[in-house]
Amino acid sequence: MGSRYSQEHVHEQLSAYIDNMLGATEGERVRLHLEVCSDCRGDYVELRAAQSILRSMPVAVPPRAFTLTPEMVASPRRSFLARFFTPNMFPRLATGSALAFMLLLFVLVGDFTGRGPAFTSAVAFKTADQPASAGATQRQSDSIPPAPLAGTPADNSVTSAMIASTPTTGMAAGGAGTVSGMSNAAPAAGSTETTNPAAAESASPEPPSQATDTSAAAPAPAPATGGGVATSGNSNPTTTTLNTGIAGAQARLEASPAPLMAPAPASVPQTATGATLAAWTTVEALLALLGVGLGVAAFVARRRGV
Amino acid sequence: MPEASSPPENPEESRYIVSAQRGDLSAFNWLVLQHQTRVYNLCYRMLSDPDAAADATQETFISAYRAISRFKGGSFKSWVLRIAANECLDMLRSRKRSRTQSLDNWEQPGGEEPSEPLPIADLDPSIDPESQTLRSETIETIQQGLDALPEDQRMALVLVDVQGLSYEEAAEVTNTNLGTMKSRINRARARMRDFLRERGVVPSARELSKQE
Repeated sequence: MGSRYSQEHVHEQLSAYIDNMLGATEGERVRLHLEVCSDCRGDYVELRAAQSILRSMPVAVPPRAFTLTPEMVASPRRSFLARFFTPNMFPRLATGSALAFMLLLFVLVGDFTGRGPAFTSAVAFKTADQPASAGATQRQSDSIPPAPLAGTPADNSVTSAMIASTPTTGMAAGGAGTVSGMSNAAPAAGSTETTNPAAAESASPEPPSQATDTSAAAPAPAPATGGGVATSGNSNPTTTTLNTGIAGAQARLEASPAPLMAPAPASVPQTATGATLAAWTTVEALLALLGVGLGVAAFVARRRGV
Repeated sequence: MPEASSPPENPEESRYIVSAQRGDLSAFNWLVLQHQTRVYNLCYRMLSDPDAAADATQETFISAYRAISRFKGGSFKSWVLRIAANECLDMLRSRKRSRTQSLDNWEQPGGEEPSEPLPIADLDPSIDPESQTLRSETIETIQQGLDALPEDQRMALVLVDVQGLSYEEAAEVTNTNLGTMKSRINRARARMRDFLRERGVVPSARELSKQE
């Protein structure tokens, strides 16, 4: 064992060996190796000399006593503001500012492309109401086969069509797909499951009734209430249908007075949607303020370091 | 994580610590007088500037007084040195930043390197550290060697070889483990040895063997 192991150089262990920080076996191995290896032995001697010289460094005498006075410890060393606006904080403040702006950008981009929270929540409210109201009208006309729920791909086209363009265009655009798309948006918005069957029921009769509505002012005879609902809020048919979504159960119970009811609850979903939109706009404004604020703070902090 | 907490070195100290924790400033000042030399020396060797060292020392004790309620026992010396070590590293970092704006913020002691190797006759390599006094040029060269080291290696070498702490104490002060400390010491000593050998402060092994 001896000669084979001691042939491994021990440069890495020399400092620890000098300071007696090696275990017994390891220390013995190094000692034996040093006896036979002039290279490592030379290293060892030089390291010991360097250590000795360092140990011989004179002790610097403190220029004064560093005892504390009450004044030194009474007041905070630096006010919170002074501690906050230090050069050390600059990178953190700058990062915070950048993050705030990035988040803001993300939210804004989402809104513009129709995938953002402000957008989808607003639409979801509208779509939630629409299927319910359609369901109400359906019950009146009765025996309507439920339409199959379309997949979510229709969602974006529906939402963008509905919000961006007039309701007319929106209705005409997707037909059955439109409604099913909207019904899918309803669960996304967190509305109750009750709106889904309503959506399903309304699917087939909905497009024709609404198409008829938008094309002609006179309501179609069969979906009388549907037409009524549509006409009641012609400028904003989507919101009128939304009314019933919010007060879904109520609307179904009073299906006949639906046209009358439509204008009344019209304000409710609008405020609800409006509230949601306002909330998200507030978020965006806050993010912008945060980004600007942190950016200014970062600049101030950096300047103080000069 | 430090592997072992050092025992309190001075039992008498505990009385003063307890008083200081109750807000007795004069008791704390007794502790300051006990430790200010080693704190000042740590700062001086790390920052290589007496004024910066004085600032760092004062800040260290102010921080220590404010934080004394958090001292839960063990080595008070290590606890204070840890505050000092962090203060030094903070100052070194801000020094680096201000250096990019102005090159003359910190003066380096010693000035230029000697153009020729220092005579080594004064130094006996197999020395007894207590009886050895170094020439001022040698001291300056050693300080330059310390300045040339990366911060964590410099801290390790100052704590163990200049201040005389054990590996465990040094690991506690720097909040690292024993293995890390061993490797830092090894590398720092080797670099310091190379630096000093180039300048003739440490005789080479060949010369050392000739003297035997």
